Amino acid sequence: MHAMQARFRRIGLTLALAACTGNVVGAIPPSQFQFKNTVKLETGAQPGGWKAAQVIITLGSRYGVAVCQIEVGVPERNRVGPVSDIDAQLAAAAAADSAARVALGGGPRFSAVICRTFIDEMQRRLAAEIEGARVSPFITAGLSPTKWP
Amino acid sequence: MSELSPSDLMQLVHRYYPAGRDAFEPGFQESPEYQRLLADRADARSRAEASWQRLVKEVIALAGEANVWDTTHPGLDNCFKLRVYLRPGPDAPAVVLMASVLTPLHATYTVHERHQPGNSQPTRVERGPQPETASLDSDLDRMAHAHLGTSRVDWSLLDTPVPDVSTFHTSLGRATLAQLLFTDDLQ
Repeated sequence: MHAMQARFRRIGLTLALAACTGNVVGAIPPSQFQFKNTVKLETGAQPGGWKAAQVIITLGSRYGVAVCQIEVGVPERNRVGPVSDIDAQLAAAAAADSAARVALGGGPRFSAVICRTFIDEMQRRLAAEIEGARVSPFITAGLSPTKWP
Repeated sequence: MSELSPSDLMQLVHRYYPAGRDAFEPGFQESPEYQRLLADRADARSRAEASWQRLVKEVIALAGEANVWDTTHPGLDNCFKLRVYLRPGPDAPAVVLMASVLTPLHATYTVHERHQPGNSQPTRVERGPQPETASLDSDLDRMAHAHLGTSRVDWSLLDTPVPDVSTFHTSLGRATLAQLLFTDDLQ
């Protein structure tokens, strides 16, 4: 019962935000992306390593709600240099906010279409900031997804 | 590549991707085809991992450690993937080698990245021969064949549409053999 009430509260909050801001959810905090190392970075100058975070994000608009499970992965080091957790979190949050605007800006759509648009757009924007970043549905076991909102 | 025809490859990818189902539909990841993909991909990757690591070491010896990036993503891609920069510096082009784990084929392409502050232009991808990267491309082709036993496949074949299947970044109607045999992140 409590879980259902919490879910309705989250949906209500999302819809309220959507109504206030014209189909756009509130800003997702960077701390929602809790990156965990999944591929160790080798010593040396070679780019590599990997860390990933999972978020269950509810995207709401006046037309309805889509619940998208997203996994964000970034290298521990790319050609620019080490990718810190905070840099990854800030970039992921900014990309998610922009992607939400695109995903919710197309009028009424099935939730699968909204999630696909969101993930496509988020990857495009995040990879422009952090070379090598990937965004997908959940594919890595052992991570602890957070929920937003 | 001469042994595998386009229809062979179409048949192969249909073993791994359920026809008519969008990758974001509930149940897609539980489908027999997708479960088969995960199992076969993991098996093939573990069998070829040591050979791949030997290839990476040879490329590092050729191009220098800082210019070689193994971007293989076992959970998302159907290939090993290596990004090899021609030289240090932000404006250096790179050749990307992809070696499929579903079939003994590899492909390459050249990327011109634009990751500089204030520059949000997307990466430019060139699939055809590029004078600047031709020698490196040829080296990678040779190494892939020597270490992995794969053959180069032409992009004209890889661009064959497979409209009835979908991936996480390719909706129904837009997939090609390249995305299904290698990766849907062709950047």
